[in-house]
Amino acid sequence: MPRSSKREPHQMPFPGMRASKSKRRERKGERMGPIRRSRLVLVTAPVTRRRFLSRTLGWVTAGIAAALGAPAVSAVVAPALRKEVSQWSPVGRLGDPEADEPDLSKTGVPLLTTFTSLLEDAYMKATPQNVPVFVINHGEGSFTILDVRCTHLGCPVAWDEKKEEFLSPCHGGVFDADGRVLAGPPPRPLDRYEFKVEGGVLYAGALFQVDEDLERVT
Amino acid sequence: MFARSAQWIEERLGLRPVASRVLDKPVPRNITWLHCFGGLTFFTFILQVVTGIILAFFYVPSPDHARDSVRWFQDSIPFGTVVRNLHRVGASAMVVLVFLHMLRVFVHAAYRKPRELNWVLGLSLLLLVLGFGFTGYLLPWDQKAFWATNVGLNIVGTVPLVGEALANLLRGGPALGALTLLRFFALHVFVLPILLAAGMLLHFAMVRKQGIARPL
Repeated sequence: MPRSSKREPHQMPFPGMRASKSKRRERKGERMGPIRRSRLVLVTAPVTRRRFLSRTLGWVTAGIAAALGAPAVSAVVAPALRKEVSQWSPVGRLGDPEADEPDLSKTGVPLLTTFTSLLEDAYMKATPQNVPVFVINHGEGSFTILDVRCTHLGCPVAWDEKKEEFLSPCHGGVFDADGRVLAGPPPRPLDRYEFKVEGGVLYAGALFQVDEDLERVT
Repeated sequence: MFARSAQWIEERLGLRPVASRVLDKPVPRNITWLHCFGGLTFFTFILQVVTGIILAFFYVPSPDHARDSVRWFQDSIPFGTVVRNLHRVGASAMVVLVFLHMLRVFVHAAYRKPRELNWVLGLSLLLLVLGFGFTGYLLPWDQKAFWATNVGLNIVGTVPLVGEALANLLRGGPALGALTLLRFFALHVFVLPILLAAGMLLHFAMVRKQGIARPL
């Protein structure tokens, strides 16, 4: 390769980089090459009838596409932008219970009761009634709401007052009073519901799972 | 804006001659606005495909949820009412435009030799469009949809000899129910679109091959 064909280092652009702007500006003064001249012709070509019509057609088409595309995209995207709203279902009134009301005032003892779930999932309006839960009152407005279903295969667990354990009737799953697994095949502690107390009423929120340290994982 | 990208692709694939061969076809002088009905029908088809796909994002073909999902789509999703009504009105518009297109071809006697095949194909496309209307009408699963389909299937049942079997086939059994809804959904969303798209391609190809009929 002849020496002269290799460019001097200061002329060599970095790979993938075009000549700097100043270089281009320098060239402006020069006589235009054939390619630049032809490009200029292309840009300034007279607006012929054909050009005008095809451009108009293009813009009208783009307009229709946008008019149809905007509702389409927003409809499909909208559900993704919905904030997750926690929905609360009343479990029971605190204070002196009337007939047929669960007595939530007893502390430290799991109380089996039921509530009507008001959860909604898009078009699913089903409101499951009589959802069974164990409510444990820790006092000072602190509650644990345990799902009765064993985490192994979903059999409803029962509270054994003498042993102070939850027993699953199906495969010998045993949980302690906080829902931790003591024995048997269950893979994780009992699931629980979010809770809140508002206006003297205990509400259940979303169902979630916990790990062995009772830290929320879902 | 995309000139450089277009140039890059053009250098590699050389698509311009192909595009110009497909698109730059001179149309004969006798073209009138009446010749637009076919193209307008095609436009409504595109409209139905787009709005139909959006609806499919939300629709559930089950008697439990069909009505709720349609209602929820309209009430809770932005442009839900617009999209659903575009699909509904677009369906009616498509049938009207198909008929106007057919009327134009009939009045211009454009069905005569050598275009008999395309006329017959057009008639089957008309039946497909009506099939779209019939199957789509049931999907919202309200009282009107249910009873209109009931009547429609009873009419199918009056066809001599095979009527009852045909009605049962469409209904998925002797009684209108969950299977009917699922069948109509499958026909409306999978079977008919494929048939219609294939038929339309053939329809357009024949028009291209034979050209537009000369005036009377």
